Amino acid sequence: MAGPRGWIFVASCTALLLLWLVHRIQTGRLRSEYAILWAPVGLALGVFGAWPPLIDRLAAAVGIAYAPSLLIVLGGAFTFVYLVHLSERAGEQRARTRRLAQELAILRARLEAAGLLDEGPEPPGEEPG
Amino acid sequence: MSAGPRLVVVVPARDEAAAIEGVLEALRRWRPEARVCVVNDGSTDDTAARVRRWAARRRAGGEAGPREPGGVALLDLPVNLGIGGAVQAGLRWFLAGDGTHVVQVDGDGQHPPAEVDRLLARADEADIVVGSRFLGDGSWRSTPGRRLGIRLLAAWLRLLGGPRVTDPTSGLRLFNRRAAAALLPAYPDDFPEPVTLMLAARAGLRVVEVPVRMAPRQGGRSSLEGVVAGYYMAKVMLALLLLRLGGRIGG
Repeated sequence: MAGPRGWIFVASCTALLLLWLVHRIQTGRLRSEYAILWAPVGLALGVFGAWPPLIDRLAAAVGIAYAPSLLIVLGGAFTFVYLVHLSERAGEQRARTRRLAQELAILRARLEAAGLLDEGPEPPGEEPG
Repeated sequence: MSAGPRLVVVVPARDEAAAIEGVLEALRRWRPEARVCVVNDGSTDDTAARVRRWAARRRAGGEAGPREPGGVALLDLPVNLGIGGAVQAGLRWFLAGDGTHVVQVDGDGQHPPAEVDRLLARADEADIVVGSRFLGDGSWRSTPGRRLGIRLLAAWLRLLGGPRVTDPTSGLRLFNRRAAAALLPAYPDDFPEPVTLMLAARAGLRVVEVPVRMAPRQGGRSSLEGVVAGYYMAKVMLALLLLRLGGRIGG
């Protein structure tokens, strides 16, 4: 279906994406626990990019006439599940932050009561903004 | 008072610099022996500084330290947690001490301390005593829109098998240690009052309601206005429904 120019375009896009992912992991900006999730996505993109007929066959196998819409469906489903997962993680982080803030406040109150901490300093790490 | 309850008063306060000293003064006049725990919830004004000055003045006058009867402790949260997180911090403080009862009195002056006596009078009958604006007469009862919302919430709570109360959003509430310990782990972040009543029912806690009088706010700004009120209703009703269906809230 795709001519050689199309193939080169898709393959280079995929290669760039994978390189970018590897770079994010190497520089420590993407934690390995997330990398484990993103690596298969990058791999799948690489396979589909390197061998476009695969997506046509997959689409035919599940009864989808227009092959690219299979990619859109898969991508959409993955994004949805992943966003729900991130919402859960945000909730967990919020609960942990709350616990830490409470314990910190109680500790400060105890230290102040024991005369081990000057009263009235600004709390550490003022919220930005 | 020797055999009476050892009372801890938790005062959640966010940007209540205008009202907080009045609240502390009223508490001191009402029950000089009560232990007060102000939870400063990331205020951007000088609420915390005013509480510290107040406590320092009293200690300089030979009065009590923070854990002693009559003392004022300040839990200064480094970030804003919302009313649920602030009250939860106060409950942690209470459970770490030897108090027998904890009452929440809002930092905006809406809860006249003397009204807590009505709650204490029923403290032996229940694990949670809720002060209701709607049972007696003569109380300031909020705006018509909010009254409607509160009635709706009360009906919803009852429909879902929660306690029968007339003022499910009342922040003026007395807990014994059993109630505080049961509610602490799952205390919700925002708008916790109706949800904690549902949690109380599930934990088998006894809830009674007594008439109280509340006052309009002395200063500051309500956290419930306009669109936020609609969001509040939707969120709380959903949270109650999820609890009924067996979910858990908070963490």
